Amino acid sequence: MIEEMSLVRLYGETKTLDQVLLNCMGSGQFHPEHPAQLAGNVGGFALLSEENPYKPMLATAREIVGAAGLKAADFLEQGDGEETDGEETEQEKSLKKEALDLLLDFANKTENYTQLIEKLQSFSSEFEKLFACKYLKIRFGRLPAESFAKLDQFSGEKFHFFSLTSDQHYHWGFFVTTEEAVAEVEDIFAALSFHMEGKEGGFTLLSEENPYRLILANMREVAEMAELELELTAHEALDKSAAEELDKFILTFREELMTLANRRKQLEDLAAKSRESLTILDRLNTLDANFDELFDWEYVKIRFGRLPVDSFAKLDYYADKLFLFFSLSNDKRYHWGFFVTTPEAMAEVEDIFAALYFERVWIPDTIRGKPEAARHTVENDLSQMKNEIADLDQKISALVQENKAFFLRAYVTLDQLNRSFEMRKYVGVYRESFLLTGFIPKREEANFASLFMGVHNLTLTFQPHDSDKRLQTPTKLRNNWFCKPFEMFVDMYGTPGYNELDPTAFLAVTYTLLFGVMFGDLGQGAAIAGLGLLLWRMKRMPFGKILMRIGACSSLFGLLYGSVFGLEDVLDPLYRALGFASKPVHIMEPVTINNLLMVAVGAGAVLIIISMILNIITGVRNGDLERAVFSNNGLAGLVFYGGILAGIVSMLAGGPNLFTAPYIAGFIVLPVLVIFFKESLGRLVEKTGGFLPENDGVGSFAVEGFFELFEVVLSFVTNTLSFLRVGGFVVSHAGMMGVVLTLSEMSRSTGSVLVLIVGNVFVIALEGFIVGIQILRLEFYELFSHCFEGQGKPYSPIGSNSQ
Amino acid sequence: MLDNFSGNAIMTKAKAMYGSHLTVSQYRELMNKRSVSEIAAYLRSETQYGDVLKEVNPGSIHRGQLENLLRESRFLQYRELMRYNTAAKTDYYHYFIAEIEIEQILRMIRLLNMGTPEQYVLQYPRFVERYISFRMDRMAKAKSFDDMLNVLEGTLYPRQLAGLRPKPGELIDYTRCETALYNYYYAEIEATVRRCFHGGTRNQLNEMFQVHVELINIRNIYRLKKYFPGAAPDMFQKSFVSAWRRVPSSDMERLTDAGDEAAFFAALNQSRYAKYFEPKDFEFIESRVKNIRYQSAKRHLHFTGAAPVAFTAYMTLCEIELGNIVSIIEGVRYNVAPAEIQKILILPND
Repeated sequence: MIEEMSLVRLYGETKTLDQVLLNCMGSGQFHPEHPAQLAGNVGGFALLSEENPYKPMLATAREIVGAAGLKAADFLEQGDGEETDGEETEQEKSLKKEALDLLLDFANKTENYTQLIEKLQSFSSEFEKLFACKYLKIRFGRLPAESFAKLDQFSGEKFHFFSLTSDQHYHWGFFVTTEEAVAEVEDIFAALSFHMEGKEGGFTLLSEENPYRLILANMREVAEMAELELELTAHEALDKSAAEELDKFILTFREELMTLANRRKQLEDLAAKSRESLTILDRLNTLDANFDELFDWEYVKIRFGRLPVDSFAKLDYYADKLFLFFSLSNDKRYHWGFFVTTPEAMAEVEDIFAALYFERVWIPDTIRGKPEAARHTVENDLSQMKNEIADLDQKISALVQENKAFFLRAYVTLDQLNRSFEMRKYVGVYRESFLLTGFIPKREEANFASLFMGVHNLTLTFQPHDSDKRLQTPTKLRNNWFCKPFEMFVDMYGTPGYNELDPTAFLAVTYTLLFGVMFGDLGQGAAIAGLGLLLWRMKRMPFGKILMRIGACSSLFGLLYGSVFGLEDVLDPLYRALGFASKPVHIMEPVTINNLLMVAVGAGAVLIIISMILNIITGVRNGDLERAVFSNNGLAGLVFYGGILAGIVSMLAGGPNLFTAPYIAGFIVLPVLVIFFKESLGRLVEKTGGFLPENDGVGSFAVEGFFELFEVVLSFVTNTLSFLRVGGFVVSHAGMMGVVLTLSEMSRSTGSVLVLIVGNVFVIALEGFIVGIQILRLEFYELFSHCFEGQGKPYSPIGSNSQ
Repeated sequence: MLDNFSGNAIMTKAKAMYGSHLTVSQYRELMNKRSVSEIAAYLRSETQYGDVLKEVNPGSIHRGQLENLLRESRFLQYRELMRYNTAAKTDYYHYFIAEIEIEQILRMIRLLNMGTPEQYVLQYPRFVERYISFRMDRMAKAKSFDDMLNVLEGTLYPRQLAGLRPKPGELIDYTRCETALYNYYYAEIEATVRRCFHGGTRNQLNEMFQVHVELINIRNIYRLKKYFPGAAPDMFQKSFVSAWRRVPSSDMERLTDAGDEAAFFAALNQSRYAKYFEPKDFEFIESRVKNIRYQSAKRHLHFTGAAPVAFTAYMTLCEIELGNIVSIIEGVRYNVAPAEIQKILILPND
């Protein structure tokens, strides 16, 4: 079933916002609504005495009045001048004048308001009095006719609405309320889709920069450096006083850590260079000379590097050039070594070597003396660096250990603050006040309210879920332990609308039964249930719970079919003990197969009828007559389908032929006509239009209607026949197990058991899977299509770990 | 029997090796690289060229070196396939080596014409040294046409080139040398195919080479028409590859007789090659010709059951891939936009 919801509004002061948001998160029940849906025509909390939001408009209004040759005073004179509060003060006079200017401004701005102004001219004295009153607040605007009718429901509220003029869709007028209640009343009117004219500003969305995001990013960086795992669940949040020191703590910790880490990186880079030097030395180790001396030669210049093997072979070509190349070592692709030449010939020789793809290797400064000695020095340096790195590692780890506990708690705290801040996108504010709107389950109202007991100046109201037309009520499914896991399948199709029926129970029962029927086997069912239990226990997979249910049902039907892991005779003693001659159902007997198929189609027809009845109930509940009565899934469809079924059953059962002329006219032709004209009838009944569609011609209406009807009739047939597969799979399961048993009998003792086991695993995996999918298909296509739209909005409360 | 086994092995291996060719997305990545080093690094880490590039330092690699290594990779693939060639039909597979030999000779002729024969030493691919019929290190020392013929002594090439010796002070007629060598090359292949194969294998090989040769001829005619509008008829004859000519010579004459580009297109539209070309294709006629070869090779590689066909198709695909990479390297080197580079590439989904 679908949980009953309440609309919650929280008004309060922005200084309590964080606390309110954390409480909302803590409740785990609050489904917030984005204020963007509410903003726009929610006037806001602005009080006239505080700041007149119309002021900028007034100047324009005066200009217009002047240009039109009217005087604001003209309006004042039209009233009878009766005054309630004795002498008018200057302030009150100016207030009146402003109000009139305002109206004039409206009049010039909107054509509809000419009517309003006309009406006001005969009414001016009354509203003058209203405007003159300090403690009353007035808001002009238009209210949908539908909402106007609902105003009676709010008779206890502190406001009055005066309708000045009205047309088919709207009432134009104003409401009056007290200064204290104006915010609340404005919201009520906003919910009633009252369009407040000329109002600017009002609620704004909170769009401050989240101050915690940067700190959190810093923390994540630090955590990565310190190799700390950031877990949210394992640590408690800090209390408030400590939380204020957070920023400083993190900066200090980060700085200390960075200093150590930077030094470490420096050393790593140096070590990498030294290792590179060692590689080079490896290549050049056959050189019996001192590097320093080599580079100091005056008349001979030297270049170390590597030359591709192919190019090495081509050096002979340059026999007449003034250079020598010494290969010190070589691998498959390169000769490592050096060439020597004179300073004068260097340019030419370098060109030749460049053309031969010689890659020069720069001997690092770390290499001094002979290769052997140089290697020794470099290795020494390297080991020193390694020691220093190890030392730094220790320091880092000590620093981390020291700060770890506080750091992790700080992370949890900041994460909470961050998320409550992220929630601010659901908050509308005006000056120092905020408004938070959302839904909670109705039965949680008391608990939810208790969370906010101590919050200063907070107004918490619960209203019926549909009291604000701008919001779509989210759907929360509530089902018993048996059906709950199947919500997964329903969600897969679509979340039910708040006013729809929850099809979960229907699906849970039919799915389980059909699986049992199609895959009946005591042993295999138990295996599936066991697998489900494992999946649920070990992996917390919700699907495991479904497996447990359908597995159990499969076992029950296995008892009926007398099948245990495909062995058809094992249970015979049990049946005899119970007083039966043999097992109740022999699947592979021809008579059984025939009956099985008939029963499958029959059961399908019954399921389709049930789904149509569900659709009718939903239609009636929503007052949607077209859906409940005229549509192919409504009463008309039910009569048509039922009529044909009854006729066929009667014929098959050897009863009278029901298809007589009156029967056909009443149960077949009439409902078909109703379905054909369902939209027209719907329009007539709901008085939203004429019999024929407004935009389409008669031709296209007829053609479209005909094809739709054709499809409807066809789908009744296909949907029903689709259930043949239920019987088909019962037989196929028995057949497949028959094959496994035959194979098993053909094998020898151990092999036979092995074949039986492998065969069973194969059948469970393959057929179990296929049957599961086939039933889901039946549910979605054959049943849901008759009764379920799935256009709802899922209920997703902001919890401590979600959103 | 053994023939068949070795054949099957070559075919299977070729098909398997084709699986590791570059994909479109890899080409895209390459085109978007900003330097030769990045290309080398990518080829080394992400493609089948990793083996030959394993030792190189992508940061300092030279464009020419990279191209050489890629060519070496193609040659190694040829060697790889030849490992399975235990049969006597080596003659046919030798065409790949002959192609390399002709390339080397033509390279030397170009360098001689440019007056820089000493560059040859830097350019010749040492990895084929052991497999070809003349010595490239000796070729590197040649300074004239006659020196070159001396180096080629003992091979069949001097006979093709003998009549083309330039008069003193004149350049070597490169086009005639090219035509002569390729005429010889294709005639040899044609004869080998006729000698060694029959039935479906022969038909498929004929089909592949015929298309190739005809396209070369059409391309040559088009180039002459476009760049040398008044070219004498014997110019065309000079540049024709005569082997495998299947287009009736009347058709060819119509093409050569065409007065200008427009007339050429009109004549082409009458020929059996009309379906291959649209006027816009001539902007990049090289790539169009390659594209047709590519499609033909790919089709043959997929559907053939004969080793020589699979081999030829695979080596063609290798060559095209190599060409693509070289185009990308050049494009990236000269900062050509990836979209422009892509226009001249032959990509798998083209």
